[in-house]
Amino acid sequence: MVRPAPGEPVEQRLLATARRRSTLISEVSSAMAGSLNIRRSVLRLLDIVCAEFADWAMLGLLDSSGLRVDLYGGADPRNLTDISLSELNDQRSLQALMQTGETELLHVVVDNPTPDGLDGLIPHAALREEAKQLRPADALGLALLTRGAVIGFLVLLRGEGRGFTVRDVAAAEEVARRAAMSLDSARLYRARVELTSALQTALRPPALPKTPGLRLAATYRAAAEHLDIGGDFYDAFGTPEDLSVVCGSVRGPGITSAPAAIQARQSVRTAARFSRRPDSVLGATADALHLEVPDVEVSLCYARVQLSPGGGHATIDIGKNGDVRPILVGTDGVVRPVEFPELADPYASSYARIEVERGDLLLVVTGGIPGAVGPAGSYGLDRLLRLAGRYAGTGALVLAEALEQDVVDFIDGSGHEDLLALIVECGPLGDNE
Amino acid sequence: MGPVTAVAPADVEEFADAVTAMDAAAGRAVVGRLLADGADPVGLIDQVIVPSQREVGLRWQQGEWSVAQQHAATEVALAAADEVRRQLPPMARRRGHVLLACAEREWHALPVTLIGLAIRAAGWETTVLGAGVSPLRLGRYLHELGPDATAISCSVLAGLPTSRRFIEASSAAGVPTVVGGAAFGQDARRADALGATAWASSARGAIHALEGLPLVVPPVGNLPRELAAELAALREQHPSMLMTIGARWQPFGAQPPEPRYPDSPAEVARDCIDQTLHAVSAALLTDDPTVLTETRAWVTAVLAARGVGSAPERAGELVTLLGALMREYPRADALLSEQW
Repeated sequence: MVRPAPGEPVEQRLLATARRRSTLISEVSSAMAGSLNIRRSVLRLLDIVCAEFADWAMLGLLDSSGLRVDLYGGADPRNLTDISLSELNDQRSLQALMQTGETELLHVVVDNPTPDGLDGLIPHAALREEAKQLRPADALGLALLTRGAVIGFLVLLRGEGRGFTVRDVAAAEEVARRAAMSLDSARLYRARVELTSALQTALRPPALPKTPGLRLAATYRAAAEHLDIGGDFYDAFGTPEDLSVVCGSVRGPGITSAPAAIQARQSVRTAARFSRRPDSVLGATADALHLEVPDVEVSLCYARVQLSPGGGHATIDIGKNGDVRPILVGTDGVVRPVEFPELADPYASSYARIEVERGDLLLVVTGGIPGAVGPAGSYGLDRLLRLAGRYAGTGALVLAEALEQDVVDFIDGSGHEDLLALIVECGPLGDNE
Repeated sequence: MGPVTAVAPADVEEFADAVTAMDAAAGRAVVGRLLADGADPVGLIDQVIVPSQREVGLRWQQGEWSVAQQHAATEVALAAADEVRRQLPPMARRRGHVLLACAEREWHALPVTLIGLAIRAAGWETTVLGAGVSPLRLGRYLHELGPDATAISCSVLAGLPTSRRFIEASSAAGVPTVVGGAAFGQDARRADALGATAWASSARGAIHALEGLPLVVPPVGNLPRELAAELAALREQHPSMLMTIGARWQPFGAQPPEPRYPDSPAEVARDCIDQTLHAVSAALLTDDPTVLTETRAWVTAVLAARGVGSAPERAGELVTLLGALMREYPRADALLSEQW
């Protein structure tokens, strides 16, 4: 920033001041464009205005209810506080600018107890006291006015000999206008985040249960990676002796499949209440989905894992349809897809029973992993089987991590479908780390 | 909480034994006992868990363990980290919120997990995104959480370019960054070059760095246009260079796979080429040529540990082949000519 040296001609000083004002405005615009987070946006604004333009600043912003005002500012602006909107009734100047949107410039006499001084602009005792300690000469109250509504206010103070000129006030109004636009966008973003986070919680994959005698692990990367949700889904529920494990995929583009995925997950749970047999579960689930989401294609694998009384051995009954692959990974490194009877209709359900011993893994993947495409072509089933063989005997968690790494490195930044693998490891009873 | 007790060398050894045996339950038990005896969680992370992981890395380098065994041993440390998390007392005060992540191509989730625990133990709220995080995902969390800082862990050179993008995204939102991990080297030079606000070499160092961070930072400047273009070209050509050099550089010659070396010669050679290619980009990005000398020494050590005769010469051949491919990349070419 250009600073005139003492003794420079008046014209140069005025020019430098004008440049500073212009820089301030553009700095506020570009800085606030960098974040959609209200708190970070406010902190940046206060940081910029307090660097040179003002000696102290405070910002109030209506919260999403419109009934409370979040207050930021003072010596440590990270300490946020809030007040009821009705408390502004005691602040005559603030109330006026919130109602009219008009700027309030006050020449402060600190010791004057009338409500037109700092008391009328700063609606919080600690912040007011802090401001008074500075013994400011001028206080400028600006409305944060955007899209026809006042969403908050900005209060700036300057010390003696540095009062706000008419041009300073104009620059501050421009700062407030641009800040209001950014903060309003951040408010809208927050409102959407609040709305969607509740949905996301329901759509996100559940935490896998800790089950004596078995270890469960999953790796899941949604096609819309930044959103963490998609059309592939998994679940595990039941008792340690009779556990249901589910892995499925709703065909369709990314996030739009997520509601059908949660429907499918819930349908499996409901079906399994009546019978844990894979044919019953898949049949009842297909019926339910046909009624609820008739146009959606769902691939599904349901495995009923029954642990032997002493642990170390399990019988797994598997039912599957569509593009989902159960694979058996033996501790000896032998890896083979679970064999099912050949069916003419790929979406018809087929069934198999396998026996697993301690250390064996049942790996179930949806179509996204073998179908993943990178610069070297398709990931493919062969590569998946080779990788699983290399990690045989290392455990469910290790294989899950290694598989995720191998697939994501393979696609090398390319777009992908949902990538899901669910792994069940047969372990000894009592080992539940 | 009672008085903090120091960790004894015997405890360190006991935990290292659990890692060697790949016994997660034993590792968890050691850590659980130390915490119950009053060990400081941060000291336990820096003095017990982290050193054991260095040993894991060395065992791969020395050809004793396969990558799969490395993964399995790391699970012991993750189980120990889980025990630390389980025993952390409820947060008495909230000093701020820290977002922690590893960039794309960085798959070592353990360091960021451990740093997250240490930071939480020091009173910071944490959100740990884990390994292999895309800039888009990080950006979403920056906007949603509005953290006080972003902590970025990077152990491999391949993760530095996206780490830089994390720094750009954070600073664009005014959020300061603390970086650390083996890829950032032994001092703050590489962190400074990437525009990070602070660098830390340990869990305790990360806590200290957080305490000194500014509330708001300005956006980091763009990389010089020519440098950015060259880095992008190197990134794009990485797969084909990997194949080209792989076809010509065969340090193991006709040597058949030996059972005592768990990873195949082809896999090891590929890793060496991949690391060396990433080292060139990392050296350009960080303006730190020591990346190249360190990588050459690493390649030599990896080959020598697997019985390759004249390992330094074989590493030299790799550099020569690489140099021939770098003629079209003026900055990389100059760097290689000067340093190698």
